[in-house]
Amino acid sequence: MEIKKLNRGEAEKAMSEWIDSYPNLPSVDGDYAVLRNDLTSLFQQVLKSAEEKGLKVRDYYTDAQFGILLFMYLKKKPWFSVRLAADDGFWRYLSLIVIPDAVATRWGKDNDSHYWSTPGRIWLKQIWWYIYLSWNADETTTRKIVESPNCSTDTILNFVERTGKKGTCVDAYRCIVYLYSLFPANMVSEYKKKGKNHDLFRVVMKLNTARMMVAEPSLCVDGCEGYARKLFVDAGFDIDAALKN
Amino acid sequence: MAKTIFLYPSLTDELSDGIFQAKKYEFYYAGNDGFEKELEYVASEVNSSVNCLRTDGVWNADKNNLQIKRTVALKNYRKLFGPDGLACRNAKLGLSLVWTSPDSRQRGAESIIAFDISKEQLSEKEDHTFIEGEIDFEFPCAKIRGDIRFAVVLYIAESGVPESTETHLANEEGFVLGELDSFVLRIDGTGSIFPVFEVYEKNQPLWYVRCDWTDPVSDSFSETISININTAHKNYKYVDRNQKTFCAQLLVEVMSSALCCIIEKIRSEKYLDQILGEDEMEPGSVGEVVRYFANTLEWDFSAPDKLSLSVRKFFDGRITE
Repeated sequence: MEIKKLNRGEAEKAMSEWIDSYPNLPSVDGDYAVLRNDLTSLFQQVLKSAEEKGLKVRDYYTDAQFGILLFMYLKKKPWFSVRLAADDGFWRYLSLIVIPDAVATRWGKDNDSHYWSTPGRIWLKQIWWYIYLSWNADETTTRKIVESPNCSTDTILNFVERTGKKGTCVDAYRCIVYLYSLFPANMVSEYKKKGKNHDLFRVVMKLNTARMMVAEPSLCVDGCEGYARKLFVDAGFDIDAALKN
Repeated sequence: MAKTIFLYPSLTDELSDGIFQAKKYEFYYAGNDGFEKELEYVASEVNSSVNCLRTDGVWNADKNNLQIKRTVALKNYRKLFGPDGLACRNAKLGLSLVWTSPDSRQRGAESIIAFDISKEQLSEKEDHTFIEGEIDFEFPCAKIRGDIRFAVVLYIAESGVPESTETHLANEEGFVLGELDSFVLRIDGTGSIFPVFEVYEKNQPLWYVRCDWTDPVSDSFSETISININTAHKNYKYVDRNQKTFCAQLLVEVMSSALCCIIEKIRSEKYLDQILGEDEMEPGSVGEVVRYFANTLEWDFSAPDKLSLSVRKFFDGRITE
């Protein structure tokens, strides 16, 4: 399949065309028409499920659930790779030409930073990377992690939007979010009570950003797992108590 | 963000002087016939510290792997151990290859060798220490894109038991003490330093610039900046090279104003000092490109009026009828 991408200029143009012709979708054909059908039906699944659960559509549930479905779908495609996932051009095309309606449902029809303009905020790219960085063994295990009550839109923000300026150490991130998902929710909220900016995940990610400058996770005692564990300990969280169950 | 502050003694020029030796980086891939084929590289024009992989149309980042090989050696490294060095005398140090690639959104590390120092070596009159290692590491196909930075770092491989004179030294496994050497490889072109695009927008001016960076020191220039020229504008014919009405001076004005706009925005966000300073900028970042304008193209950044003059001088020579 020929991979289509949009550069910034093309994206800007496509965005204004989208806003003008909303809710009509731009035309696609061949493989991309199939892609649109498939992704749209996956998205509809998520919306239906959110409705049944009485959850807001413009919230974490949609991000996590559609993220998983999008991730699993692309995983099966021979033309997709992590290299392509790091290419904004690919995500711009997907967001503006293939399924702009899904992005609009989540972020509104004219919120351009989530379609193309701010690399860290392109929604489809963000949710894919969130699942990739949380991936653990298989879909079931990964689901358990992202469906943990400790995870929310803030987790995605702190994980994907704010970090990895020099690239992310994937293994370290996977260990961090895995541990985080295991903690009892009451211990996490107890930690939050310590202060205004005391969201545990946010604190740990900030510590991680600082520590990455002087330490290499894979070279630490017990490798990435040991590195992740130590971040929580150094953040003042009683990880041993949290993992006792 | 300011320079990293090291809480422990780290690799200084004095300590790293004369200890590190290495051959060139060599790159290979597994060809269709199963044999290893070598790939050459050349320094980039924009930033001579970036090396562009010469693929000659045969190597394809999506289909081929990339092997990295290099022979490295450390000599006279006795001074790294002990109270005047970086690690306790009974600790183990190591060399590791740390690779970072914002374009691929990934990073990783591969250890090369670990070494310690014996009592004999410490007490000898002269320092004869010498150790050699090989970097031999592979990226599978379709994993990376854009620029990858390779750094050979010195780190604590195994903690020691510090003597009373060594308690100020770093002693945690994985702690990076400093970099001995770095190398940037570019496997994909990451865009022009003048990202100009055409748009079609009625009732909008002839041109405008978009700056969508969050952090200019690390965000990619070509992924966060666009200079948009509006083909729907009634005066577009004066900036379109393909028309008889093309007026070079008008295009000089557009490009100069756009670039000044970008740089003044950086100045107003208080990043300019850092960018024009010594801090390292990510390859391909807004900061790196702006630094190229200042250092290589020698634009005068001291004040907005001086900048405007030097940018126009540059484009005057470049954009002609």
